[in-house]
Amino acid sequence: MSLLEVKNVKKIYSTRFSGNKVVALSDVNLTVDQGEFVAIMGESGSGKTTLLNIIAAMENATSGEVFLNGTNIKDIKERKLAEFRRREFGFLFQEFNLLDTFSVGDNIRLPLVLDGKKPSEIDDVVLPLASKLGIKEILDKYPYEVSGGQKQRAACCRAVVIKPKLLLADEPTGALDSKSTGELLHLFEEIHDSGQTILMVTHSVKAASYASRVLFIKDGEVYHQVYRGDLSNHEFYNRISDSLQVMLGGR
Amino acid sequence: MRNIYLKIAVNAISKNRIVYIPYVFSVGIMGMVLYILLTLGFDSSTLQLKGGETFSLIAKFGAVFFFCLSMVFNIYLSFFLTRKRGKEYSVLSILGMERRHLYKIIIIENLILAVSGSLLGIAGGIVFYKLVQLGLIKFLGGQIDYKVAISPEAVALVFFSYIFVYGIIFLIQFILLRKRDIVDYERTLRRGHKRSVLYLLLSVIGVVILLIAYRIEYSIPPDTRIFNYMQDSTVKFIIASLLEIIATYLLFVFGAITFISFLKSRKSIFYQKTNFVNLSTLGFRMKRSGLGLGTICILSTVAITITSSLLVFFFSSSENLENMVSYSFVAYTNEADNAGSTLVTYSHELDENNLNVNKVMAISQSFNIRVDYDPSANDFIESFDPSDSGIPFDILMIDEESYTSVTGMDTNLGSDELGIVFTDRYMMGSLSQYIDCEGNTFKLKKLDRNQYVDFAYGDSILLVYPGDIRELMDYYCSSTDRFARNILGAFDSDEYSPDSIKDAIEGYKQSTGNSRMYIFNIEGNYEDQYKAYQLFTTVSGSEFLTETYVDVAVDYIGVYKGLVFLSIIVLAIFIVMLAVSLYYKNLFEGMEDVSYYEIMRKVGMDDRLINGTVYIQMFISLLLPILVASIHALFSERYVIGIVKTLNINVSASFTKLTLLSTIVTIVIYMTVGLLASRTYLKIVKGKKKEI
Ligand SMILES: Nc1ncnc2c1ncn2[C@@H]1O[C@H](COP(=O)(O)OP(=O)(O)O)[C@@H](O)[C@H]1O
Ligand SMILES: [Mg+2]
Repeated sequence: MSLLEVKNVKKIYSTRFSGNKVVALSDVNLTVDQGEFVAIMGESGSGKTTLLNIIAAMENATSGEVFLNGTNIKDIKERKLAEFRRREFGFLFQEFNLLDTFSVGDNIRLPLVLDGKKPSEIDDVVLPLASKLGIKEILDKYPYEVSGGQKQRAACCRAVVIKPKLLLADEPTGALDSKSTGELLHLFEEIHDSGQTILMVTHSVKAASYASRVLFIKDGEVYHQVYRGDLSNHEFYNRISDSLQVMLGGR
Repeated sequence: MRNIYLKIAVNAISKNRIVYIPYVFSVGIMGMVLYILLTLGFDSSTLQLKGGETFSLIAKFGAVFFFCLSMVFNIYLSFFLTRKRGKEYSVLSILGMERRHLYKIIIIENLILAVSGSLLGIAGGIVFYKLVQLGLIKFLGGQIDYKVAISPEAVALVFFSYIFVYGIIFLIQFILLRKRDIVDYERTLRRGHKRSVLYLLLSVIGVVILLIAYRIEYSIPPDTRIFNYMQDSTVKFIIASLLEIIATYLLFVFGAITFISFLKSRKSIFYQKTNFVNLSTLGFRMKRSGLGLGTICILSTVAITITSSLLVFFFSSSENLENMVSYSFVAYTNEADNAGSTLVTYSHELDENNLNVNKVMAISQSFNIRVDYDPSANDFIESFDPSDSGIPFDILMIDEESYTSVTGMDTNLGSDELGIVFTDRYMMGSLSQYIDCEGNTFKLKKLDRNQYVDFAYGDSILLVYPGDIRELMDYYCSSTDRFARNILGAFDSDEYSPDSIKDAIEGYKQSTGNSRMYIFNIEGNYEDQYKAYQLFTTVSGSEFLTETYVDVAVDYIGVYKGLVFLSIIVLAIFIVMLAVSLYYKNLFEGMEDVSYYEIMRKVGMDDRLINGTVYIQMFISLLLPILVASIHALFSERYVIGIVKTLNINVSASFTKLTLLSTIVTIVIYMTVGLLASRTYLKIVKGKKKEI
């Protein structure tokens, strides 16, 4: 059974004042298996963020269903939703989205504290993970005191600290320089190797080439997908690049 | 609009109208109140009301006080607004606008705000003045003339006060913008997080300053009625208040952060769901809101202190009012033989005016001596407060027979005894047991105070002599010059000569023989009594010397009602101000925090926890200032009571209890406003979630 199953998801926004309707997603179908690293590519405005939000139950789909581990997320009670999100998903965003009011360390501890972990056990989880991600030295600093790359690693640390079933990343390298991008992608590789399932939205072919499968979204649907299979990094990179050309060319 | 700066300024204001409309509105309300208070102070028709003169004085005083309060408030709001607009300003300067021109725009903006605020205030004031006046007249009693009163003084003063306030605001903006970019300013606020040792030090200094301030306030003597005490106390109180303000800011800015850091360092406390979120958020926000909370605290202190002082005044004085005047008036004459006909005429006059006499008492003889107290010569009083030296006080003498007839009390003095009654005021020391009068020693016998004594004789010592009072006079007249010189205060020191004293004494002795004092008690309220008093003065002409306290009572009622009236206005405005500033705080922070709560939700925080965080923070950020304010207010007890006593009121209400009461009422009001404001905030931060 696949870990995540998205069936005929449709999302229509209507702006509050003008009443104009925007079809963000028309009919999305996809599945993600346990342990997969899936990348989603698509033009800006193609509905990638919307899709991630719907998967994580941050927004409701206009129609269609999302199953996680066979559970329809619509069936989860409002009251349990926050807990569900916290336990099942890790989030990583382009803007890092660390909370300014918490130190880097406390940002990472936040999901554990919210989950009611014992105070004495919290740092037993956080410290080893932080040193693995190379941010142990900045735990006491505040987000505005550290670099973009460090912020993203901290955000990544926060996203996986609770060992979520699915790590959702929305253009995680979008705001990083090439050096930090490389570091973060290696990190993803490592996390993935240790068994973490990842669903990552990206604009970057390089980033996508780290995945095991790449989906292309166009006109609110999954337009195409490529598998890594036995391809080398370089070959996979070219494959993705070619597919992208085709998709963009056919407009 | 050809002026480019004017155009930019107008644009900026109308673009930010969601912020400026309520701002101008609340600034306008403040102007309105100021205008009304000033007009009440200047309006001649106020003066015609009972107690109107006092009221007009209070209104002017209230206007000054209110002006100060609204200035603090306005500057506080502007600080907010400038910060909010900081990014706009720096965009303008990035776009290549010179500082000079930026200032020009800001000046124009301020002018627009000042003019529109004052126009709104004055217009509102003119409209509402009549209403307020009607209410006041209902309250104080009197007639109204129906012309629309526009007081040019008030208009001018309101207008200039606005120019003044906005001048100060511009100065602040000037400094803020000059020192650094506003954007940078935000960053500076964020920095310094690591300087915990400095913060700890500053908090400790804050605590020390606060303790010193409290100590000073507590050292104010419980009785400030003696004049130089009064001055000392006021100086002490002002110094203590300034120290309190400094300490409050230190504690709210640095102390709170230090305390929160301490809590955060305890893992078992900090790593709890709600504590974790609240302490982190509070700790972070405190750096920015510490100043604001300090200001709320200081304003609350002012509000609570004033409220409870007024309450003490009300409760004490409503009791005092009833007993304030125990007789209607006193009339003295030196020709008692001719007094009869006047009294007959007077009684007819009273009948015609439907006034009734309750009681009239005639006292045959009395005289008084003024004593310059000299601490080195303790003839009379053994010990007396040295700081009080040089204050002359009256010693009155009356024969035992008269005293008994006035008071109805049995004195039973022996022939070597002298009765003594304290009327309590100015008397701090203890009295010796004996009085030595040129070899005749009298034993002092303390008599109980009596309401007639209080008011018939003023504030002094009353000596009751068992024999003919002229004997007692003889003793004194032949004793030291110091006493003689002061008989009735009849001689200025430069006119002093032994012969003139002798003559005066002789004359006085003779006239005393034929002197009479009548104490009148008229039925009815103070106004009737005052009418009867006025009747007597017209009937008696120059034959009688008259004295009454009823007019004081009437004035006093004016003060009393005026204060009720003013305090209602001031407190109402205070609540409006509070609501407005909370509205702004939540509006701005809500706007800034939208994305913050988005992340919170994605990290897996449920709405209940988010709501809880918002409410707890509201709760703490309102409750903390009030509680501190309440403690500040409690320490001002001694000074406040002293002031109330100076108004000649026996304080019967408990300041502490009333302070706690007004604290509770303030808390209820704040919480209600705070809850409403937090709902606005939550609506804003959750607004983005809305969809089909
Ligand atoms: N809250 C919203 N209200 C209205 N329209 C929205 C909202 N969020 C997204 N959209 C619209 O939906 C479309 C998809 O947006 P998004 O999922 O953010 O795209 P992507 O992340 O792929 O760039 C866009 O056209 C965007 O304007
Ligand atoms: Mg997006």
